[in-house]
Amino acid sequence: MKTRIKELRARYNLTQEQLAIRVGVRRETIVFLEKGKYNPSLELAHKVAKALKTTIDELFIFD
Amino acid sequence: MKDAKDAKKMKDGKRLLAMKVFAATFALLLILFWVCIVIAEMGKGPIGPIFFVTLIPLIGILAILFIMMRRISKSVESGMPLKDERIRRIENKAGNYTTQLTLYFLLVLAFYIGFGVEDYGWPMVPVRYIAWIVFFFVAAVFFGLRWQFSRKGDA
Repeated sequence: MKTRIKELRARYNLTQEQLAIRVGVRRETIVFLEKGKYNPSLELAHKVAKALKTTIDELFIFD
Repeated sequence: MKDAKDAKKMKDGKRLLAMKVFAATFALLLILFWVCIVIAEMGKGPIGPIFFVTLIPLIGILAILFIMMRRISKSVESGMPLKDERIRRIENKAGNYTTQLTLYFLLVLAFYIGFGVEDYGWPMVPVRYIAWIVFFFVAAVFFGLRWQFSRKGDA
């Protein structure tokens, strides 16, 4: 799984910590999400997409 | 939505307090244990190398405990949760594996005592050691698996 979290985070000038606080997870979880090493729950995926003003479809790319 | 967030924060605050109390109690018990060792050793004569040999790991463990608690406190105070869904998922998985492995381990112990000791004359393990062996086995397997799963990810 690939994600565009890093790219969108940079666009909105957000640090991993800021995004983590916004979506209510720990910073390490954002690191794992960006690396594509963690499958988030639908709720978390929705929260991250909302925080980065995009949709789940655009944020997570399944090969 | 805001109420739920506040409730979660309050819950984390309580959990953090419980963790701090646990860490302080653990540190106190450790110091007490160390003092007992030193008193027992000093009863036999002057302060021996055991004083210095045990003092270094004691300070090390206390320092690690202090640094860990400080890091956790800081991250919770900055607004991050103590546990999130990834950590919960990792702990559930590690707990599941640990339960299964402990069952196998207990089965092996039962066979060892039942057949090994009684039928083949293998050395008997005292009950107090068995309790410690099981305790360390469960702790080592759980923390080891949790560490491994937290490194690996699940995607």
